[in-house]
Amino acid sequence: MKQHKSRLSRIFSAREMPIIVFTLLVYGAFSVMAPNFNTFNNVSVIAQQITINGIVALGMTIVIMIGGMDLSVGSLLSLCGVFAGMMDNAGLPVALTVLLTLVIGTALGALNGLLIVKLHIPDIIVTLATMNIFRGVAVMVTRSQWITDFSDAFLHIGSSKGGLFSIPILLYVAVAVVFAVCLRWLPFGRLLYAVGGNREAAVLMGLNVPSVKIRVYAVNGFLLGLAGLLFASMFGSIQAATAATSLQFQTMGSALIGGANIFGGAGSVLGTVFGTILLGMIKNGLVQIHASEYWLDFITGAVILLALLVNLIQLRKKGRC
Amino acid sequence: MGETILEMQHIAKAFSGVYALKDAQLTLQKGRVMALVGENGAGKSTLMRILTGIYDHDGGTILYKGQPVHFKNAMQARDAGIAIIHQEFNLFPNLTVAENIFLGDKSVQSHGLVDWQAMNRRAQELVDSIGGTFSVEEKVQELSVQNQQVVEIVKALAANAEVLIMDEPTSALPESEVQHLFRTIRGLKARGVAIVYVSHRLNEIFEICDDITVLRDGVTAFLSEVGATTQQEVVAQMIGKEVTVLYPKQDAEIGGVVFEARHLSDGDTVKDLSFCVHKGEILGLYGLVGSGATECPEALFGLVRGAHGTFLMDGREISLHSPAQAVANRIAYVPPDRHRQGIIRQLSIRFNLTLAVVRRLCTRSVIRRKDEQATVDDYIRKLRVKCAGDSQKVTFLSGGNQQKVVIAKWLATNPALLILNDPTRGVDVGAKAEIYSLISELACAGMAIVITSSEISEILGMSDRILVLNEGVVSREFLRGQADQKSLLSAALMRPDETQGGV
Repeated sequence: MKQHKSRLSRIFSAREMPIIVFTLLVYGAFSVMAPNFNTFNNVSVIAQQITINGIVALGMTIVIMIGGMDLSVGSLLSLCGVFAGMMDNAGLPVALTVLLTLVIGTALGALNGLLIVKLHIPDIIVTLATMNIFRGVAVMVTRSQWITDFSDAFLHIGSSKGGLFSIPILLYVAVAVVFAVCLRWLPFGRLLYAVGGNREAAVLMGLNVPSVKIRVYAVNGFLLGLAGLLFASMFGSIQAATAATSLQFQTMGSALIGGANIFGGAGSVLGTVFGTILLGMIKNGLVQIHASEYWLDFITGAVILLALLVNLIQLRKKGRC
Repeated sequence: MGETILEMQHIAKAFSGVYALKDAQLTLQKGRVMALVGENGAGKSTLMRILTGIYDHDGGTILYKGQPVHFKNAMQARDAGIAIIHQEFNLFPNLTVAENIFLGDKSVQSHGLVDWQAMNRRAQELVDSIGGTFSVEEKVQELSVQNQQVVEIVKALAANAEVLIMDEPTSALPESEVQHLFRTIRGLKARGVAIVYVSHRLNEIFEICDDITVLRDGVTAFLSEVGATTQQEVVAQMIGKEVTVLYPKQDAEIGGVVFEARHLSDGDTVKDLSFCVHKGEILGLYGLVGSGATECPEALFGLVRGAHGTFLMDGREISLHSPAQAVANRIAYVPPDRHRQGIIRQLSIRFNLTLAVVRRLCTRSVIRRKDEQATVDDYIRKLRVKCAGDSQKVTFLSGGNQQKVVIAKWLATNPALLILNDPTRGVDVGAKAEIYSLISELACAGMAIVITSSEISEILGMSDRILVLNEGVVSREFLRGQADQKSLLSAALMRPDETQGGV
């Protein structure tokens, strides 16, 4: 049994393979059905559209990987976006606005982690509460008004200039690459798999599991700060009550389609990226083929279910015990 | 004799006033294997948990390499070179073998990044060095149980363990793999590792161990080189003086067969069990941990997926794939873990008591309060449940009274067969006696009863007939009065094919 698998066979047996193949198939199908789908222009549009969800989905992936769950992502994004917009309106230099927004996101993300760890309350309940609190604060400070009239420098962050090399897309790619490297080669990244895979063994190994958890939620918060900035800047305006209201479910969907295990221990950057691409592509493709947008939710759900089934079959095949 | 590496002296440990260990000793030498044996509850696991820093000890000293030590947690013990392989492995199933071995180890990192090549190479060397035949790049969840055990051993080696505790290392292994494990153990001995081998299996102990320590009721009762003792002597030392406790068991009239199981297997611990229970009879099942004695009742009650066998109730074949089927066939089951499986703590006595029969007490889905009240009153009186009233929450009752509520819940279903799985676990002495007389009364009233217990004297005192289980099959059968503690324990310790020769 001690044969090392060849590189090629390892690529084809990778967990992400089914989702990559499926994404390509869907791409092909839409290309045939909609003449404008497979064009450079449309591909850049899709890429631009998925950046926010993509960044948040990566944070969601590491949260799910350690056995956690964050329902508050949409609210925290909204809060960060609103703060960023208000700071810009107040005339702060854009660099400072960016910095402060990222700090706020990180701090509030860490707060989620702290509450979970210190109060011993399940993640889903803490983030259910903060989901309402973050959104509530954002609505209160803006009195539910649209925040708009941003400076040019601020609008530049999210502009789509440069096609596939626009700032949002480059940021997304950068985050994904950093995540992929960290999860594979950084000791801390490997610990995330350990904590999610067998929490008790991790504790017995001497890992400070609570600290790992807080740090993961902090990183998640940082990404939400970044996504909040992009949101306000890309759309040129933001309203606290309506921004990113179902983001937690979309990003959870991307992560799960990409092979993350809801009970922790599994998840990959590549998988989540393709999960995000797939959902973004379906959304765009349905518009291109003039399908009713009422189909979107149904198809998204079906794809998630399908992905979970494929994962299950893969696990059953491998699992001997 | 090798060089002494560890000495535990006069170790004492109490849990909320009850002594688990009173005066335990353990001395380990480099390159030797020490067997640690004792009956269920003799204190073996407590002693090992103290050694590995999971529990703090109340009294006594631990000398490690000549120095007194006091480990505050498992990490300190491990860093000092004391490793344990639990029966349940502590592995990360989703990570590779190499990662499991070196996770968090700075020596396989360069510039703060994991050096996968170096890690895989060193892990493979370690695995190869003890005869492992799998790739360290495989995920642990894809390995067989025996190979997972090898990973645990390699993990200990990588952490430079000098003392290695193996808790029932062969219980999860197929017969064919035991010799392989023994070869590994001999390799470890040659490296000078001191090993504690915790096991019930005397044959294995006499094959692989050098010394033996017998724990009895929290005290080190016997210490010897394996070559200088016999299995008979070890068994005698495990039991010590026979204690006679009086059990309120009345002679019941034993009638015809009520329930019969043929070739019961749960696909895991229980291999092939056939037995029958008669009207008015109390059938005791006895076996050490892992023998199938506690697993058999679970399989009977339909709690184990994949359990199979042929079952007859009053001569009619029935199927028992789920608890619902078991209840429908008039089987009742009192589980061993009252808190998790028996009661719903935050609800009232009344609610708990009528839970299993609530449908029978309903007209058009509405509970008939009067009938419910009558049932509740009836059983509280019959079972002498001491409570402030039937609306009292079960959590406020004593352990014994909680257990009575569980039993009452099942009696209300009017069962033909009552299965009691360790019914007095965690119940104080006075309440125990009451539960015993209740069981005896039920048998006198003609109920067929199956009882298991971790206490050997309970089985001896209560049963009309005893089946001793070992390795998932019946190794011996005793009638009431035929067995004593020694013969029962001997039968439980011997592999089934050897018991015919006797001890």
